[in-house]
Amino acid sequence: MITDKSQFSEKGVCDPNSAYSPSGASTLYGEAKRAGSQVTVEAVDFAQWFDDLVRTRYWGEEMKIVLKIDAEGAEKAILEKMTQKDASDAICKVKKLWMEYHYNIFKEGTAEYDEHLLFKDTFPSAFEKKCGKKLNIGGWF
Amino acid sequence: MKKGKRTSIQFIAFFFILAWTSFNVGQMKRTKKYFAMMEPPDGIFIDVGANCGNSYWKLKKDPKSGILDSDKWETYLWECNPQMNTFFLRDLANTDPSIHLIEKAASTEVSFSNIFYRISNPNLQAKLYHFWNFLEWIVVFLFNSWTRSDNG
Repeated sequence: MITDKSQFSEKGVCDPNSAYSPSGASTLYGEAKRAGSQVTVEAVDFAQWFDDLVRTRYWGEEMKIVLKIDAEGAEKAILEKMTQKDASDAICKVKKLWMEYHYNIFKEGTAEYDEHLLFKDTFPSAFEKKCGKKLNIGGWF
Repeated sequence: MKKGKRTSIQFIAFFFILAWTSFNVGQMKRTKKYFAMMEPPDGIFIDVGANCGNSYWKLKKDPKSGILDSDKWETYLWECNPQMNTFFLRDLANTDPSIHLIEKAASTEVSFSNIFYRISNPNLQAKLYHFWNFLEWIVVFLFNSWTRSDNG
């Protein structure tokens, strides 16, 4: 158990140029290669939360909504739900999406690996179909 | 009243006025920020998996990104790793009312989920774990040898 920031690697310095410093990430997948200590947390329907945010805080086209998702595998289910036919068009308000695909956290040859790898190819077209425009998508920055 | 005493009172009064003014300027800045939130923001930055806030800092320090380039941005940091929230993100959110910290896991349903987070310096932790196991094994081995020789 960590009791002080300095016990992290890199002495607890939050490095803006590193996606990993000072600590690794957390995942909802216990079978993932990077899985570590287990803790129970409250989970929220992100799509619903995002709908509410757009409804209350979106003021028009000139406003930028920038979404960065680095959710260690959870991005697939979240974004698939947001681009479903019956979902709202809130996702279409996103001007720029940064995300990291996480198929590589699963063991190669497993169903999870294949599904997450396929999602990398299918998501941009699913967005285009939903919103009628190409997604401005970037990799990890 | 003696001159020296009067000067001391004047000095104390000056000090209090200065402190009071500084406090109010700080308050005004904070109030201004809250009022700014009632206006349309320039943009909204949502960071799902905020880690220690590294992406926020990267964008904030890079004016060319066009993101978080004014005080009129709203930021929503999602992070469910309790270590990151305790040691980094709560402090960050407390510095600025336009930063909102959501200490929950982003998912497709409302529930309680198990998350699996990396401990700091996991290699070191693993080494220590093996070291203690090895030490325990030696103690048990020595104890068994000693009791066996006693019985013999």
